[in-house]
Amino acid sequence: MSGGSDERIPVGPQHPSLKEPANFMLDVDGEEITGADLTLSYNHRGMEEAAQRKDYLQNIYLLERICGICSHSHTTAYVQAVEELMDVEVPDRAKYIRTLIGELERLHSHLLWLGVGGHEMGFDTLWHYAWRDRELVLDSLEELTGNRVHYAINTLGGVREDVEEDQFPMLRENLEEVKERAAYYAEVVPEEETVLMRCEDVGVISRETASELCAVGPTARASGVPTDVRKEDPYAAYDQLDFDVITHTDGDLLARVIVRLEEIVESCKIVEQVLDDMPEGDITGANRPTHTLSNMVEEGEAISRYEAPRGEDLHYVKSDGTDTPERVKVRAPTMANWPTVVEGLKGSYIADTPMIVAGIDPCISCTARIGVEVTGDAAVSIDGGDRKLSLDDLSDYAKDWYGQEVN
Amino acid sequence: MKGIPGRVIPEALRTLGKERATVKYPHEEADLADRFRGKIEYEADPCTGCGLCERVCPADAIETENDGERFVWRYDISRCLYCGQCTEACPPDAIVSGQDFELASGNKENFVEEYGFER
Amino acid sequence: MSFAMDLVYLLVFPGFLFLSTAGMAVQYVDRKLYAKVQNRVGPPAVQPFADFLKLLSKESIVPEAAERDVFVVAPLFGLAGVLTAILYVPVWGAEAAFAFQGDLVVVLFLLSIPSFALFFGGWHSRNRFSDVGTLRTLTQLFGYEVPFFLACLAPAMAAQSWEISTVMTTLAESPLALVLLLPGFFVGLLSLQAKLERVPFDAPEAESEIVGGALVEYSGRKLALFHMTKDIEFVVGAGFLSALFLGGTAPLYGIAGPVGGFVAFALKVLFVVVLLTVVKAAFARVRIEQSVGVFYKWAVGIAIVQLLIVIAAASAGIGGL
Repeated sequence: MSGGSDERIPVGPQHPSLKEPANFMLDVDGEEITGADLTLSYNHRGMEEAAQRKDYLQNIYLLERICGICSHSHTTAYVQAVEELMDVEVPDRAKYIRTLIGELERLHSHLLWLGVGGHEMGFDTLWHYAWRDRELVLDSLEELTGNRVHYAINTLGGVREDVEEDQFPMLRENLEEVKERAAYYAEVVPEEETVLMRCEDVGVISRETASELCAVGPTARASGVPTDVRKEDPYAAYDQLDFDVITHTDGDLLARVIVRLEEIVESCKIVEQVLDDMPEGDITGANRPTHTLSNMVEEGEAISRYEAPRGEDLHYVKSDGTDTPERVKVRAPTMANWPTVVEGLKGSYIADTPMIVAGIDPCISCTARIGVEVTGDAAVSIDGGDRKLSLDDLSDYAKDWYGQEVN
Repeated sequence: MKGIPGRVIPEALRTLGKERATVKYPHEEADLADRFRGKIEYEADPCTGCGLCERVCPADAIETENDGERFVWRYDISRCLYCGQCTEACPPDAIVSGQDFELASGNKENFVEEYGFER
Repeated sequence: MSFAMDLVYLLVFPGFLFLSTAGMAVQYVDRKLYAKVQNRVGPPAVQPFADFLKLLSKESIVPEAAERDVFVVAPLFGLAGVLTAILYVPVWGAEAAFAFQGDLVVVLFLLSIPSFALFFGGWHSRNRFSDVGTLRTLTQLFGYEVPFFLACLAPAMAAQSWEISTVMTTLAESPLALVLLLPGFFVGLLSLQAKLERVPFDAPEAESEIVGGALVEYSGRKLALFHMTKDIEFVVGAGFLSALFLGGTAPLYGIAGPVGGFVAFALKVLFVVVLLTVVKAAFARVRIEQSVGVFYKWAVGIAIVQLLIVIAAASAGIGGL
């Protein structure tokens, strides 16, 4: 391998370090990376198009399946947007239950990330410890909602399942153990020498760069940008809860690890408050059966923001008065964080690629959304020219590409 | 050297004494929560043939046929999301969520359940 | 008679049959202990054998762009190196099978042959992942070979002999000498971990970065031989270190003859395996330049200090040196 020659190393679309397909073409010089090319959208499933064909209630279950780890984030954000268009009052108890499930989801997501990060570093022991402790959170979620992921707890106007009195002891017991383990990880992981060797000064993103690139979530907070939707634009029960926004100043990979570890500790505190202060009341504010609510959505558009474990999740819903939405647009948090990955990759080593990519907690299933307008200006241009395509044109193009019959 | 090498070793050695975290499924039975949403269970007796279940299902897993004389209720396990919306929508509670999750089969025909009754 | 005995040494004990079984046993202990530390169950005892058989039954592909001759011979080359090395390590008695003056240096060189086999096989696979992996193997070799040689020099200096069997019997008579040689043992352990490309020094084979490193194009029989080479290298390396630093087959060979000596050897090899498995479980993977840094900054320093200790103790006459 002659020095100075630029070789292209493909990481993906199938690669042991990636949990989902994505393609990074790295220009390398020896072990150092000089440039990177991202290709996402391998996981594009046409969610937004499918959402236009189902009614508002069915869309909850569809949008939940955008991602398995942040499923509650997507349903809550969507349901909040629809409830704005619907003029229904969500009772306090339902808001508290949504917060409870949301924070439990943050716990399980961050513990999952801790394990995956450990595995990318070659630290399999940390991986198994983190995932063993994650089982406690998943057991709690299964008791509360009936499923370990894809909880389907939200419905238009409130939640579907109540938290019974006899479930509180189990929840508190699991929470105590998770708190203990979280304190252990927050103390031990940043002290282990090999973790420091791998994570310190890797993929540094300054505060200015993070602000400029509009990073969200723990990625931005680790660079010192204190953005948190739960404080800026409180939803559900967050305006009544007392918690801190965890930030760090260094902006390197170690900072992102520390921010997530401390967020686990913080989330445990929030869950404790929710369990202590849970108000009495109904779990749904609608006074009609839920399957009739799709017809009650008025014309208009609404935006809803939610602090998913990965950052700010944004849902836009446009209604035309019928029982199916006219347009649903999802901007997942990982979408906003990809430019920081490209920035972080430049100037670092090949060995750091999986770590830097894992550092933003990527969810490629969340990211892959492409909008195609059926009428009016179709904003998709395939060959880079001015040619604009409608949905039918795109379909014919695809068939032609794959050598099938074009009708 | 800013950190402590081998910081995890005390915990690692302590773990040797702990009971293993793995469950020996399928030799041991899986411990399910009460609210676990498995395959739905349908009873023809309370069913009025209203078709609400078919209307609310997000995955088109339930199909009904009603020609005035005979009502057929068809359920496809492979399409079902196990969300439980049909159980909520059904007025006489003819559909409830069961706990069965061992549904794998090598034969696609086994995935469709069909019930019919005379109206 | 002597020729038949030599054949038994080469093929049965302590040669190929014994080593392949011992390698599988060591792999089992390693995987089971690793799993227990992580609160898991781990594989059953026949798993290494089952994996080996499975690999043998798969198709062994030679890529079109690869240099066929080197690609096919490389695994055999590495295996031959470690199979030869065991003949100079005392396994059951006071003497190794083919001991002679200077066999310590020979074993040190033979133990580096598997790394070169990885290099030859990986480089001639013509795959960009194996290019990176192979370069990392050699870079790491430059890192750990110097401290390893220095550390193994210390007991040779202490016993004033270049024959492993003599070093073992001389040092076994004075336990104080073994205590004084502990820093060298520590350096030897670290270097053995790097030689075997295990965490924290498995950058050459980093699964999450370069897919498989040097072995990425290997499959079937050839890959089975590479895995077997790694297991046998583990046994031979552990036996070598325990002969030099832990007293080898002493003191049981004096009490209970060859059986006792073999039991002592097995226990000491197991001890080294347990130590290295705990090290594997407790650390993350370091980058290749950090790995070389660890060896040149710390391991070489400790090894040189060890040599100074030996010289000082010898001139002061303590420890029976």
